[in-house]
Amino acid sequence: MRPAPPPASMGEAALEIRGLRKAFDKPAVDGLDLRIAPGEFYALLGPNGAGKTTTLRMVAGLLKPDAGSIRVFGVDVETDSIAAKRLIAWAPDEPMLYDKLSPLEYLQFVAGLWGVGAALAAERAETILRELDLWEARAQRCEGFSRGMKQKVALAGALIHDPKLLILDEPLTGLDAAMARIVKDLLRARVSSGATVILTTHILDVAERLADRIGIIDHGRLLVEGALDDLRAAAGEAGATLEDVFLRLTGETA
Amino acid sequence: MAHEVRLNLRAIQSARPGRSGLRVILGITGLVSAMMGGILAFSLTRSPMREAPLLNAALDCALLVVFSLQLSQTLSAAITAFFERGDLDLLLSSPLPPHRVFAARALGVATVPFLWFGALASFLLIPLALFGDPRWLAVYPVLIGLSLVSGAAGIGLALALFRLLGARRTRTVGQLFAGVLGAAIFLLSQIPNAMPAHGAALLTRLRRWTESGAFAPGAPLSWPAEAMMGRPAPLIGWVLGCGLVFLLAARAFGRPFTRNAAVAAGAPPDRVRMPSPAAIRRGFGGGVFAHLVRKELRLLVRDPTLLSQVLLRALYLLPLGFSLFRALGHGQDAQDLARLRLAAIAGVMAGIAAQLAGSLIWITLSGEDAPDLLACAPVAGSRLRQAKLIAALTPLLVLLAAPLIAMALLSPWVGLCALLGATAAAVSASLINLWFERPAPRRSFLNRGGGSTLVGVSEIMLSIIWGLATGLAAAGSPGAFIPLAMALMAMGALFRGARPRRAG
Repeated sequence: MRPAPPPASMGEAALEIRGLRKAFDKPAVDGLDLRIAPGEFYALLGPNGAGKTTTLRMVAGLLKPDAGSIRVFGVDVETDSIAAKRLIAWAPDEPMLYDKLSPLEYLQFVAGLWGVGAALAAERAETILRELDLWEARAQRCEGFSRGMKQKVALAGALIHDPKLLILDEPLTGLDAAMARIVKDLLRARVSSGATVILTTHILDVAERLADRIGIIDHGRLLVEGALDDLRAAAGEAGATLEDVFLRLTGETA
Repeated sequence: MAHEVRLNLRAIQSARPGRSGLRVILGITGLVSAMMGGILAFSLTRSPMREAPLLNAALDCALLVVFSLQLSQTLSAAITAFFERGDLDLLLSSPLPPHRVFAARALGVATVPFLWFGALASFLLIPLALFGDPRWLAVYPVLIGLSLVSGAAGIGLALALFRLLGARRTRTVGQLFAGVLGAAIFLLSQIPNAMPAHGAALLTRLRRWTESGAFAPGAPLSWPAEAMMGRPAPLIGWVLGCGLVFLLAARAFGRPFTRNAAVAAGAPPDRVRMPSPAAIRRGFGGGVFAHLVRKELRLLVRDPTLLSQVLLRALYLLPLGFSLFRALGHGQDAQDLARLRLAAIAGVMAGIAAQLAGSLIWITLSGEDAPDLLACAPVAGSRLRQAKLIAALTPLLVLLAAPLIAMALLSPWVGLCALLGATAAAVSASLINLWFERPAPRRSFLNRGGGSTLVGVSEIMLSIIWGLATGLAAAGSPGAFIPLAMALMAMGALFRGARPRRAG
């Protein structure tokens, strides 16, 4: 885990969530407050059904909150959704792809949606596809791809417009060890160049190694957040692993 | 094998319309069919069932039509089974001999057509058996035999395509072939309507053949019909013969089936041409709207199965045009006749426009594969929908442009009516799909009517009404105002019905 970036309370937040609520049959997100600083790598953890994906879907503008507010770099997601969406990329655990398009065509489409200029987009597409080891498969249709390759195409789509806030839901699903390392390095590089990354993952080791701060939510509420030491202190277990802390705080048994 | 049957039953259950929709469809079909069956049964009590050459030929024809439709279904199912795999890998990795794996899969493939045609036939057969002659129930074992043969033939045909074309091409060509096969008999049956002179000669020749004794009771060509009518020897012969064909097919195709299934699993991806740097840059050019339209057109063009299914829907409107064409042939002078026939074609074009527009718009709007990607893009929903509508209507424009221009050259008035009618029909189909948009996977296109009975019925009714309005207007009849008013009232009612949905 890296040293924590400047406190999130100072200056304009990359993401600021206040009193967020969303209920389906029962409350999924229940009065969530969250503040993430620009350039921060934030891992949102929680057991299944804790409200992680619902929260992120509301941030991406895919769900309407019942109450509360979400601001991305000061832009209200609800009242100025188009401006907010320009700043965000959302990559869910199920890749949002078109099987009949090639990776290159997919990137052309996504770049077109986000209004990236042709020359810049072409240059970025080549860089990203090479980084993700997709360049050789750039003209093949995605229908024949493995789950891991589809995941990489979706990630490339999320990066093509160089978002200021990158929201990733289980981005390492289906990737082999070598590719998972490449993706992790790529995300860290994005953060180093000023982007903000929020990810959810069930691989606690990934959160421990990559994230500047970790938030643990359960039943739609933020239980605790901070650097790993803060979490250990909250759990009252000095020297414990993130897994121990997570299990203790969420009341789950190993 | 029980596993195969269970899977196919579940597939039918998941494809059925909603409960209320199902009740309406079953109710109407049941009522109409029961009435027809009752009338048939009543006439049979007056003249008891007996084998006659014409009846034998008609029943044989019916069986041939059912077989062609079943073969279309089973070929499509066989290709899907090869490539989409499902539980095929589990079957192939089990310690079963190849012929048993083939028999299990062929039985599974044959189950669906039997259940569909068995259920459809029941509406006629049950009243016929109850009020007429119980021997009509023999149609069921005949259908079982036919389904077994069509199941084996469907997989056999898929294997032949594998051999001829290779795994890569079979996937696309096979699905197209299945679509054409389904419509082939239907199209052939339209020859007498499409070409009255040739058709009459053909019918005379068929009648002579029927009367020549080929379909006389006891003749080999009459056996299938006699089996359907419950004559014991042909019935037993039919069932045993079909069973034997199935078993022989299992023996013969078992090994090629497992071999080709393995080939299909490892089929190389389509050969692709790497785009040049200039082409890549060009591909990134254009505005949001251009990108949206381009993406929709690419997805449409690259799915020949879907496209053939869409075109086949329009194909079934042709008989209406042919019938109108013939009906207008009496009591008119040559000039009037030509004008009226042109008007009839204009009407059919409007109907086809509505059908095609409805299908294409459903595919682009409701059948969006990545709705979340579009929802989180910084583009207004209205702009997205506009682009999708344009993409959906472009193929329609391409298809109808030439006939519209030809029609305008022959008669500017009829051309104008056809253009306005086709536009109005396409717009109404677009609006219905916009108002009642319900996301669903693109591959469920054939079951899209199951999503909303109201939308399905409205689309069909409005395509007929717009066709009528266009035809009458093109013929210069003031009667055109009646269907026009009906169409506008129907659209108004649908708009009101959709309002709560849109507000929500």
